Amino acid sequence: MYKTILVPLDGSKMADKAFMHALSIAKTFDAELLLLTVIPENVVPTGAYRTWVHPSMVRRNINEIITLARQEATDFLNEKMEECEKNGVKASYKILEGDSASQIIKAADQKKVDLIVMGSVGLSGIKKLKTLGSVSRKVSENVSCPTLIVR
Amino acid sequence: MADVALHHATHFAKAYNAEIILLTIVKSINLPSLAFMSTSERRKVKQAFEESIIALKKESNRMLEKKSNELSKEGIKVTKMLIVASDPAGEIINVAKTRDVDIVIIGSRGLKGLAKLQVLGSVARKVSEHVHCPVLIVR
Repeated sequence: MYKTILVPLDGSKMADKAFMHALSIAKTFDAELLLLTVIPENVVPTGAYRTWVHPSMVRRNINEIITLARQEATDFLNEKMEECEKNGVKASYKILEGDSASQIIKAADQKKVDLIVMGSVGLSGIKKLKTLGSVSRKVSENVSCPTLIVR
Repeated sequence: MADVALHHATHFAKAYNAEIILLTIVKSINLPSLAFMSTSERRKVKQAFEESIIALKKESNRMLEKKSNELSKEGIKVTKMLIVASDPAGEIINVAKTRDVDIVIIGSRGLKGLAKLQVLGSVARKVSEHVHCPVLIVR
């Protein structure tokens, strides 16, 4: 039924919950997990900054931030991989850069995953309003495979 | 689409030894104001409306019966539910809450969908946004 399950993780509590669900599903259906973290590109300071800071410096600092984020994400995902191993679930991970929703959709199509398990709101969500976050909304609307939204 | 959802649900129910609640909503609409009609005409319109709901209910019941028999044969515990309501999404959310379900499995669009545009139907969207539990959107 489910062979590959894509789990987008952003380090939020809700994503953690989604991960737990995915782990349980992978265990019961003997599926493989594909963990995905997307590092947003939009850390570019706009407009006025460019007057005071030289573009090359901006670029360098952005690269530094992204490198740092990549390292942190790798550590975080390795932790998750260990957890998978403990539960006897095969897993791999991927770190991509760009727009979260479109990268998730792209990865889902490329890897031909059978299911996406994701949290309803990520790091920028308003939890009191029980609606969908922008990423989970966009993914659930545009992806071609089933999506499990966890809350 | 709902059949695909049921297919997924069957796998889940088997794997987790869970019960399935089959829920069908017969959508009723509010009649427009009939104030300008004579009493007999009004009665006729209302009766026709009620009859159509009854016919829909009968057909839905038959469909539910068939699906639940299929599931029972596979050894899955099933509960059937048929509700007449004007707001299907709200009713689904309600049932999910009162029955304290662990997961809602729903098709991405129902009978009215534009298949070419791969977006969510209105019911799937509302349910996925407002239900208290995890929701699996199937397509």
